[in-house]
Amino acid sequence: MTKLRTVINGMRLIGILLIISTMLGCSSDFFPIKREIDQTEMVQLMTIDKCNETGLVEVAVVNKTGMETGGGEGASQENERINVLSGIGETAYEAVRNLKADSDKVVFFSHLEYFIIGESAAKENFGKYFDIISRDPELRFTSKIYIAKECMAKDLVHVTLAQDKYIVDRLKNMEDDERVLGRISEVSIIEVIQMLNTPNIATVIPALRRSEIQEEISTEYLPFYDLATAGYAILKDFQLHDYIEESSARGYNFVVNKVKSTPISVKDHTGEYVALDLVGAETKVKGHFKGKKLTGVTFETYVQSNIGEQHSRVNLITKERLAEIKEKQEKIITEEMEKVIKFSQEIGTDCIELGKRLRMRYPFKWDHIENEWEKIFPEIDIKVKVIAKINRTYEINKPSGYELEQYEK
Amino acid sequence: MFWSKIKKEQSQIIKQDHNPEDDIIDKAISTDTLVSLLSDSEDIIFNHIIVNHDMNVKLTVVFVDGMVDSLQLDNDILKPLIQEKALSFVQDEKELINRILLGSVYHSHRMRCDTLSECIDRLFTGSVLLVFDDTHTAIAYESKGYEKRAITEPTNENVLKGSKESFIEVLHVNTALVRKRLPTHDLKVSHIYIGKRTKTAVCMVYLKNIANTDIVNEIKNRLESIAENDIFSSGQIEAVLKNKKYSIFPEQIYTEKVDKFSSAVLEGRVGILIDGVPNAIITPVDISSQLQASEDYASHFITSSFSRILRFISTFISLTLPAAYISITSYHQEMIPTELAVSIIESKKGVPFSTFIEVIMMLLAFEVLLEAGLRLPKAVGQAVSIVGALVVGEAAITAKILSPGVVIIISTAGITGFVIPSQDMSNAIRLLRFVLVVFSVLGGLFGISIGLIIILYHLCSIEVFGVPYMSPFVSMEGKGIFEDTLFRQQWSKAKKRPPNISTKDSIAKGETVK
Repeated sequence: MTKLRTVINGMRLIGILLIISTMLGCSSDFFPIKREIDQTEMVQLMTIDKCNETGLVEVAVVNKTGMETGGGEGASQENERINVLSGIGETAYEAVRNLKADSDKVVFFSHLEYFIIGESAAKENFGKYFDIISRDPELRFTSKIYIAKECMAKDLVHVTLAQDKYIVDRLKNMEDDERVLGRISEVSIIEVIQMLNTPNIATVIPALRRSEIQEEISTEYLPFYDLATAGYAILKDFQLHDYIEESSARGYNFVVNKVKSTPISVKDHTGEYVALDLVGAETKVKGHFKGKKLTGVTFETYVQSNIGEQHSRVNLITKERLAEIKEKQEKIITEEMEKVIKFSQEIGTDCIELGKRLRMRYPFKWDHIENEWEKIFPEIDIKVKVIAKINRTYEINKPSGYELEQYEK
Repeated sequence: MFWSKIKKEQSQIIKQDHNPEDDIIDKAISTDTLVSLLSDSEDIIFNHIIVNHDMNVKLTVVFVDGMVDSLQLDNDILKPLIQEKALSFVQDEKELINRILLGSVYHSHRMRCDTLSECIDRLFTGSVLLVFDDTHTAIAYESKGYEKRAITEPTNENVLKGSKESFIEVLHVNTALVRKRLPTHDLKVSHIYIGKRTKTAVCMVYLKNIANTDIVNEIKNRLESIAENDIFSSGQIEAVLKNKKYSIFPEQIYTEKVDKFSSAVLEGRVGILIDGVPNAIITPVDISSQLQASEDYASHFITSSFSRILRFISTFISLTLPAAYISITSYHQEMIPTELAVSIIESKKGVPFSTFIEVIMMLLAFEVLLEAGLRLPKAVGQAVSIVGALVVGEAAITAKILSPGVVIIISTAGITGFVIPSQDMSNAIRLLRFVLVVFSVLGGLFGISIGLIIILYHLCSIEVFGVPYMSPFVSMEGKGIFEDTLFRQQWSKAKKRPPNISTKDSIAKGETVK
């Protein structure tokens, strides 16, 4: 009996293993391919460009080796090396294969965090160059994507290389800084896929550019370049259509509800500046319908700020003065938002996600206007209403020297 | 030919194993017989006594030197035999025996022996024999006086809070300790003598009205089935109590703590005490019992529940971490953060071995260190650990034989393994680590999954005296999961005994001797 039970148990076990193996769809490659970690090249950034001369696709990947290593006795050695691998081919896939062939290690794409697509490639056909990114199962959908404005994507890599900087670290720092300024919000691959597949809205991707900086070297001024944000690129029909300028980027972020923090400076009644630290903003979209017809849209933005700085020596913490400051802040934000909305209507492209938000808020009414959205959008009467609130003035009601100022008067 | 020769030799050995002295055992009790049987042993003392100076009434006092308390022998046995007035009027041996049995020799623990084998058993367990040649009778007085270890703190189970009483090698002291904790008529202590020559007393301790009768009977039958086998270690008893003979998972719990043992008996489990062994066995148990410490019951229920969950997590980490490291570094490099991946790549630079070889080498080194630390004297053992872990480890990393990542992983797995309170469970986990490492190198996380499924399947197939090993996680419809497994309930709510051991009385009614 015991033997019989052992046999039955064994058969059960084999059965379970068979079920596992068959249900997982394993065929000839039952086990995955083994690849030692030290034999891999963990690339973190990929650029995709169109060669202007040949028309071929050029792909470059960047990685960093030689991280900080312990040197014993508390000391540490930094031995960093930035590697750039590039390949050219008829297609991006072929270029990647050529690139892999040049490397003496296995180029590993799963750690890719950034993609930059060159302007000429995006202008020609964004979809053509983006397909490999959205199709490859090794790649992460949470990776971020940028468009290189007025240059090739690989130029941006060389800009940072010239400064001995690693482009990925530079991008991360830049994102953190810009997020505080409210001028940029990153876009992931999955978000781009969603935008590309949503009818009636344009795809908006943040853009990067080379910024020229003058630096004093001995007595001469020599130009050198750095990486900088360049607003947003607007894609329409899978082609780069236009850019939202850097100066309008914050207005765009207010419209699409992506501002988390930003400084806004307004002048008080004495003509001196007051810095307001915006700590929260929320924009709601309200559609005005007459029957099934959309007659207008109102963007209602609620912002909350703290007073960060005051240049004058007068008491601003009174009802009237605060109302005045709030009004000025509201005006600045309204103007910025209106500028973007106007631009969006002028180019006839819904890059402010208005269609998407109306569809989510009024799904039944949207059905009636969906097909005519492209015609309706440039002509809608869009209003912006900003309601500001000052949360904290901090403990200093009266600034330093206030009493003295009163006495002098 | 070779095998048949060996078998022949073995059968001869078995034949020779038949002891000619066995025949003497059937003989009548007398001093001469005992002398002929035991004369070769000089530690056995024969004293001829004339009772109350009456030359007609003689007897022989037989005892093993060093095993009896000589003061007790002199005062409580010999003195009454020589001086007690009640014995001065006896006419013959029969009357003498009757008077002694009725208390004229005032030593409490007395017993009449009618067979020679019984006499010898008593003699060698620390009794004094009074042999009466004419009536072929003997009276045994238990007067154990051999040296024994004091009741000290448990050496293997550290206690911060709670009782520090531990079992010693003497059985009757151990049973008394349990009795002290469970002073109830319901507590049954039944002895079974195992071993033809060792005659080791094995004692089953259980609560008659709580413990499951079927389990008690089955344990008794199993112990009786090895009555002829000579035993020296508790491992032999454990083997006979094991239901899955080839499973490396322990089906019993060992403890040297009296409170833990008593609490288990109170829960309705059966405790087994072995003479000469300071560890008690508790059965039947499930997997969660292996991860419980007696201290859990001494702390607040939230902190002890946290400790228990930590033990479960640590066990899982200890089992899977080396294998997961191999999987991630050899198959699924996308799973770790980029910075970590780059850091691992850097640390592996110049190391000639694959991660698998590194892990296996380190695991083996860890086992060797552990074994060496155990075998060597305490002072030297520590030195070996320090030399092994620090000097050799550091040198191996500097010499690029091992990468620092592997050392961290294996030491983490090792440390988390030490969290497991049961040493046997810890050993099983340590061994299974190797198995999972092999699975991981074959198929990465897919391989680990298959390995874990096999282990889980095996665990689910174990039954300890009808109690599923994985209960209450896989049976009982989830009853008891939140009572005393992953979590420890509040005392005010813990009113039931573990449902999986099918006790006669499932309500604990506030008996909280934990």
